[in-house]
Amino acid sequence: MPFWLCLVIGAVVGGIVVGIMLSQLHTVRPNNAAADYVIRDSFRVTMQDETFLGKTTNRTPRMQQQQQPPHQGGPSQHP
Amino acid sequence: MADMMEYKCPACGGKLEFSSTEQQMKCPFCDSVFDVATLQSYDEALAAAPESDMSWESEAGSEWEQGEADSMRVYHCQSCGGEVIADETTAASKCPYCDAPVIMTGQLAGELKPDLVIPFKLDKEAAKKALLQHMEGKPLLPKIFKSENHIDEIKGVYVPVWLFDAGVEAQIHYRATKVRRWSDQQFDYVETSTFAVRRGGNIAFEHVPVDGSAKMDDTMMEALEPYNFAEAVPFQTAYLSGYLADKYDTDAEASVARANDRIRQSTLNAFLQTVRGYDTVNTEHDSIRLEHGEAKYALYPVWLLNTSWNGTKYTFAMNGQTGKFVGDLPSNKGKAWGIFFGVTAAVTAVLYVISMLLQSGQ
Ligand SMILES: [Zn+2]
Ligand SMILES: [Zn+2]
Repeated sequence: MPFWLCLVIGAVVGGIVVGIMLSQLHTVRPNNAAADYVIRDSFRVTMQDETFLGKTTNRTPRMQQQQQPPHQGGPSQHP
Repeated sequence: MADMMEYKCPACGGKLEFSSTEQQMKCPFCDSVFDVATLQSYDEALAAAPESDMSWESEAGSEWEQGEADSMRVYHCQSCGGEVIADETTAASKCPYCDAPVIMTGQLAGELKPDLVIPFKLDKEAAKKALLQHMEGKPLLPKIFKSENHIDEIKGVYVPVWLFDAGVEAQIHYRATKVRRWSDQQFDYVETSTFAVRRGGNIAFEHVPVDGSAKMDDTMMEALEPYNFAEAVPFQTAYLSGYLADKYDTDAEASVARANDRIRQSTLNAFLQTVRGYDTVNTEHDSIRLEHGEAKYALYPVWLLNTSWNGTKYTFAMNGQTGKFVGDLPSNKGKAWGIFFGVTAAVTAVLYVISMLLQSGQ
């Protein structure tokens, strides 16, 4: 592993450690949902359906060993 | 194709074109193909979906009775303009929001009386203990901040909140995809199927609280949640004894938007959880109607401490019922950088040594 890669990983770990320590100091966060106030058993799904709209198929050539560089293939349709 | 209207691709939002070879609508951007009749009914369903409606009826609060109002005193803070009330046996001297001296300005006049109150359950000692605990185990908190806190200044305040009830009727349209992958000898295939998914139904909420005091930070009140509403009792002045009470200065109408936002978010979350078995799900349209909304005016107990440190104001608050404690703390920037560089150097050195050892071993 080259030195620069060790340094990058080190810096990421350092950032995570300090980030966790800083987040401990921040506890005043908004509560954007009202899940605590749902009346028990009040949730009813009365309508559910699904309509198939269509489909699209893309194909890409597989890598042939290491020798040949891959070609990007165009999409093909199978409606 | 006389009434050929413009359709948007349900998969990517691009403008669809009619492909005469396939006799279907085709998306030039993502190559999806759609049946015209399906698209038509899909668009009609979207257009027919009702708009969201979030109106409320509010008859919150009531008039104070003569005897009750007589025993209450109003105090005015000359520093922040806040007004708090206390009963005649409780002498208020400092403002709970800014710690400046308050002066008594008279008795209650023309105010609403709260419908409900959640009484204080935890005393000042519990609040002081919680504050000390709140500052434990936080390496980046400047040590000197702890020692300079005027912890005895912590005050019990009844904060005015509006409580909203709502029955919700929702209709939500999603666009979902299923992805299938396979390979043969030459190619990898990715097949994406697009679906229009609909959900409709009901859900109900009760006692969604919104801070009614402009002096109390709204986010802080939300961070103190949840309060256990089962312990709320009809308001009586006796509960105020020994505590300060704030009066609302943001009315129910102005507060309802926040409750609506939270109810809406929870409704969307609840229905989204029923859309399963897809690889991606996007919400395309929703109509969320609130019915028979009713507001109530209540007082919630909060222990509040305001301090200044290095020219910045810090506020700590404890839920006077559950003991939940919140408050943003200052950080020691120098120490934060120190830890960052220390950890970075240590991890880098260890990794580098290990990779050198591995290399020489080969
Ligand atoms: Zn498209
Ligand atoms: Zn004040």
